[in-house]
Amino acid sequence: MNSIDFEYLVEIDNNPVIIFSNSGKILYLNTNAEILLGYVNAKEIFNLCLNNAPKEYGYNTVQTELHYGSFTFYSIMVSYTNDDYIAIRLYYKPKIKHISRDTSKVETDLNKVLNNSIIHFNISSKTDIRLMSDLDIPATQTNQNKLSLLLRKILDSYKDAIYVDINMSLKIGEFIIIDDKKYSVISLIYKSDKREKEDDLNIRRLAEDLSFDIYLNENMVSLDIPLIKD
Amino acid sequence: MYIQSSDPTIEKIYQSIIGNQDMLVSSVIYGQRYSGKTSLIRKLYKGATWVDGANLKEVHKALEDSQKVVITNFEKVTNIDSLNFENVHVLALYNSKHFNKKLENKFAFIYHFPPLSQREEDIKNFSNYYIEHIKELLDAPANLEIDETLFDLSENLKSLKKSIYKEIMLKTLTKDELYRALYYNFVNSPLEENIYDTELKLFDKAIIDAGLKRFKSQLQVSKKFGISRNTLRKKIDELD
Repeated sequence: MNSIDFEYLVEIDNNPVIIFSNSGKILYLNTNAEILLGYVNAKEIFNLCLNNAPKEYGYNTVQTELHYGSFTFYSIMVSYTNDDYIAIRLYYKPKIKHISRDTSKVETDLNKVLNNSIIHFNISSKTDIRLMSDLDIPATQTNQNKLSLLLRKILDSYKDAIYVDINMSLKIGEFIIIDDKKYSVISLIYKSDKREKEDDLNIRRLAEDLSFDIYLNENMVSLDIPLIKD
Repeated sequence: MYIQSSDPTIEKIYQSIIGNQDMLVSSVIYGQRYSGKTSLIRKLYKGATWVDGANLKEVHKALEDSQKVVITNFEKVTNIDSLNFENVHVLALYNSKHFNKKLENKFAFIYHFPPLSQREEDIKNFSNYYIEHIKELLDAPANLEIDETLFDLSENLKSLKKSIYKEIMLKTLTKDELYRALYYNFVNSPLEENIYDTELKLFDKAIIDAGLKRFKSQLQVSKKFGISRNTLRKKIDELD
């Protein structure tokens, strides 16, 4: 039997995971931690580790509410098994937001919209698209035209990149609460070596218009899409 | 008659449009006039409401009343921002070789339709089709050769077809038709001084050029035409 790729499992974990050296240098961070560090200084998270570290080797889970940008966490787990490094995992709290009733929302297969955007992008681009998607993601209510426009613009921002990794999956254990109803969240993440940021204002505006949470940086775009079934 | 394009870019555009068929999205295809945009989508959008972009009122009405709308001549739409693409499938055809920045935020999908001059396979396929079709129409011999360098691609399929039609027609004119062609030409020419000499040069040039092509040398031409070499050379100098 091949060895299990634990690093990959941590990489795609919905919750941020960061491993620091004993001097506070980042040794490892997963994709969601990369997004988080767009909103908070790494030193602040390192101090959080030190303040909540267990007295002996092992782990310590603390219930505490933390706010960084639009993210809220309800708990952290700090762990170390030697004196060289220390790890932290932060647990998201369900988001509460109000989404206006948009009459243009129709039942939409996200995988189909994503595929169509890739087919369109491939007409004029040689960028290598590497797609990892959960094909069982259920249909969601959204505005198909705005969503397609958003995905086209995101991919266009990678037109000069060598490759783009796209990952779409259901976020386990994370919810968005809309009008007292709990909805699951779909995570759609684009990552590459580089990205054109010229159109970011329009991309952000479109995502907000669709009530998606969006994070953009030099090489990544991350969308949180509420899975609305009714 | 629809001729399937063999161009890989057009094939990708076609597949992409098919993929969006049952979705409420807006798309625009831009490219030069007569490049084949309309023919490509005509069979895919048979049941759609087709409107001309020049008539904004009709465009608004179609967007309100129909589920699937094709807007032709979209470059003629005077107020793009006034169009509401929500809850409707829209495909617009925009006649321009240049991309209009205004389309960037209006349409979910934007396709650039390449001109015929950039589609080698299509030039071959379309010209072969037109040549066969026009030969049949004009009762031209099957082995009649057409010089590809005379293909006119300046207006894409329209000028290609026109140039092939003219070439086959010119190569198959009977003496009587040639007489009528000259007659129509002369009768419509302005009656200037020395018109007789001027117009005769047209005939002289054609027959001497043809002679040189067939018999290769001025010596042979003068022999075949029954005129002296000096007379032939003088005529060639005059015509240059």
